[in-house]
Amino acid sequence: MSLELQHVRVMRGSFSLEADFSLQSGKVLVILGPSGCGKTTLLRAIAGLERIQRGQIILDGVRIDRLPTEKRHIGFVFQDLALFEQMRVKDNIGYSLKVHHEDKQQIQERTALLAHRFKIEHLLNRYPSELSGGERQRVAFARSLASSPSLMLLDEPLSALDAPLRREMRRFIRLQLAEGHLTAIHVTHDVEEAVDLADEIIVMRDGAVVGYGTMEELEQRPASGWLARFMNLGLVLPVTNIVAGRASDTLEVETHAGTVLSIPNRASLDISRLSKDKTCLYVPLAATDISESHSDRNIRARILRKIHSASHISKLVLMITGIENYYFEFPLGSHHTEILQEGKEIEISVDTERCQLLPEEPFALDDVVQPVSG
Amino acid sequence: MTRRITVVLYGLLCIIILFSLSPLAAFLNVALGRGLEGASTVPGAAFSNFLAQIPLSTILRSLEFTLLQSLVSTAVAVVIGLPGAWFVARFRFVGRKTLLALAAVPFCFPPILVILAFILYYGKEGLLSSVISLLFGSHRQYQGFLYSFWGLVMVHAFYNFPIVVHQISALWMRIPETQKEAAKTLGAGPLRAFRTGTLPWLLPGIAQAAGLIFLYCFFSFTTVLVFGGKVGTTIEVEIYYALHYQSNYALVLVLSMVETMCALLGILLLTRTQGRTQRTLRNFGRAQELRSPKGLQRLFIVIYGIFIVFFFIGPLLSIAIEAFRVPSPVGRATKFGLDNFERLVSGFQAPLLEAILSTVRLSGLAAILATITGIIASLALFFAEKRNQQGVLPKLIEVLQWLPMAVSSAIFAYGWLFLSSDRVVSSALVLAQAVIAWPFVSRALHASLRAIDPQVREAARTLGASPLRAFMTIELRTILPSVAAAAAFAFSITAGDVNVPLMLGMGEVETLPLLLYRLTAAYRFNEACAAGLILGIMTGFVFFLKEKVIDVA
Repeated sequence: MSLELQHVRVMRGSFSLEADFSLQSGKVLVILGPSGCGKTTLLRAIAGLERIQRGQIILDGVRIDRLPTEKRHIGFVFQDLALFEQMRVKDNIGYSLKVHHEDKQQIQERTALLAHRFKIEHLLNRYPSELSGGERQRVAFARSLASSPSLMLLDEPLSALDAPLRREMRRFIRLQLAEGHLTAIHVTHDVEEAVDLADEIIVMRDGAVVGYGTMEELEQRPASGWLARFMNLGLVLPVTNIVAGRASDTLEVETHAGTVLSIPNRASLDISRLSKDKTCLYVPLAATDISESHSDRNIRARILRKIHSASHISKLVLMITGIENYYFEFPLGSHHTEILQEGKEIEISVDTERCQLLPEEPFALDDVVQPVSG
Repeated sequence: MTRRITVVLYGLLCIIILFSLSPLAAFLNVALGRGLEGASTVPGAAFSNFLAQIPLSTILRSLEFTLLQSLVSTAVAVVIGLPGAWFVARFRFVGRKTLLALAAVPFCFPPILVILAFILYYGKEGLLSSVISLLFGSHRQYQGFLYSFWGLVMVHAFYNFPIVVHQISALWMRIPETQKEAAKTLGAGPLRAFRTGTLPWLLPGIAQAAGLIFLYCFFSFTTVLVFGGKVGTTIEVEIYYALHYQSNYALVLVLSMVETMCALLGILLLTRTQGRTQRTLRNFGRAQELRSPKGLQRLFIVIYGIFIVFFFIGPLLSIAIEAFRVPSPVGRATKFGLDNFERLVSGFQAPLLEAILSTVRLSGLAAILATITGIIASLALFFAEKRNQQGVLPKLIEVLQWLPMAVSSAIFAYGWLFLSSDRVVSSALVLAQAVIAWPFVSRALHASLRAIDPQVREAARTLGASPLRAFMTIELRTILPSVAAAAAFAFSITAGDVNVPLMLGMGEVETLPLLLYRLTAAYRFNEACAAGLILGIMTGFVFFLKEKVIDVA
């Protein structure tokens, strides 16, 4: 294990954060979550910029949570980049080497090497205020890598960039992390960015880890309706009734839209204790399709917007009949797009074998659901 | 803004320029005339006679002393103020607001009141002496230090350190921690991280506060007059001596020119750093979240609090105590009552009521005049800048705004005295104080005008408002509270001013600060405290109102 967080708790006023996970060497973990969920606080706690109340942080077998920041050997790219405006680019990059009393020759060589790798050789004598947004990003990244840290922490470094540059920098960061076999944690609230960069994803909400795994694992078992909706993993439908199915291992689930679906009972559910308000039906995106024929087991929806593009992902924005304020984005694929017009009612067929009941909010059904392993 | 209004505004501005520069010209004219008086008609001989009246050693001696005491006082004020600025900017603690509020002291408590407070507290017979005699059993242990170079430095430093706390904390609050944290993640220890991530942003603010304090100490008059006698005199005090005891106008002229040139250097430093400080404030915008102090931090705050209470708040409190303490023969128990106030109201000559009335009347007039002038100047500067930022007019108004910081108040006072045909001292006082106060009003209002987001005005225009209407509803409405605040500030400055009345040597009119000075000089300290308390309450109350107006706005 490269990084291990064991029962870590951070308190900031009335806000409390708990984390317990590990990250293998050379992997990129993305911490994803809405604003204020504690992802930056967690990153700062790992860097030693935030005091932890409980638990341990172990990096490459060494407990680091008692060490001051400057002794943790961690690279940190801040959201505002925090470049030293009074220093030239070369002095920014060479800063950590100077602090560690490396000799001048070595500092110059390492700075030149990083500048070449990050394609910023021509900027070395400039001040940060003379750089563009993308150039500043590269300098900040090169600076944090100068003293070959054991772990890279990236706190939403792309949030201030415009969309095309953000896309370009995403590719660049991923390439650099992969080439250097770096272990990294990247924080973002952008699902697309998370999917693009991550080997593993942690989803946080209100100071707690509410989802953890690869993208595939999260799609298969999102752990809560909230998470599935947040990441647009599939259809999340409120349920009005749940009864045991005719077959012993099935459940008959009635949704708000009036559709009754027979789904497999993957978890040991005590139906009598199950609160309908706290439960939802999750239909993975891969289990849905636009149906051209009518069926009572289909889910009805209205096309609000049709986005058709050759260069971008074509999709439909759907409003599910019977559910207010829920807009579902459905990728179009190779469907006959000419029959799908804005305002038209359509039906979505569901592969019920892949559906599952989830708690609406994270941990809401912990007392009644025991997930079946595998 | 319509063209006609702009023309009217610029016309008024010309009057302001004349109003501000004419006393200087009048003084120059009279001083040169009198300096050359009695000389032969040979031009060379007249000039020699003029030079003969200027003792070079006096100028050099006073310049050296002025620079030395200003620099040392500034350095000590910065050293005392910096920890306070850090605590206020970063931590949440009991007394934080009080520490910030102390910044009002240099502005709303006239120097004469602070001088009195220091005499009562640090003097040989003061409260500190009593404490030491209680501890060591004898008064002889403590000889007092006020009437020395370091005494003068201490008064200046303690009078001005709240400016450092206020100005630097306002800047520090906005400097994000990320650069310091970035330095830490790159391996820098706490001190190096501070040097890399915080200090570069803080330095312009420190330079600005130091520049301002340097100028205040450089022009220090009353404090040096009272405490500096034995060790040296500042240029301002030399000007006073030359005017009053020698009528040596040639010396006054040269001294004031030397003074102005030195002050301009300080102003240059101020204006150069002002831009950088404002940029830092604008770029970082939002203030950082305050946190609770921990461990050693808490201990430092407590020690600092005790230090400030003991050395700074103590003297101020002693005014209130002494105002109510009735002097009693040695051996008798100390009595408290309103006797000191009664003596001032109903005793021999009973000067208090008259002094209050003349202060309100004269300072009120000066404040009104300064406010009107300040409004016009700030609007003219605002619109001139909007049209042409690099133009001559904005530059000229900027320079004028620094006049009271660069020119001796004696020059303004005597300039107006020479201009008034019948030499009416009170009108010269009002005009001189107005010339000194209007730039403060103008600078405050101009800052408010600059702070208005231009897009708000543009939004009004897109919603159908004419330029005049947009101006009335946006700019004018926004700066109205600032006008009230600036007027209050002008009143605080003029009501507490003792320099101009002393320079004019006023005999027929008694203002509160003048009364305070005379009572102090006559060692009638308890009555001086009673008068001082009233003056402090008056200026403090007006300043408090100003802060409330700003809060409400």
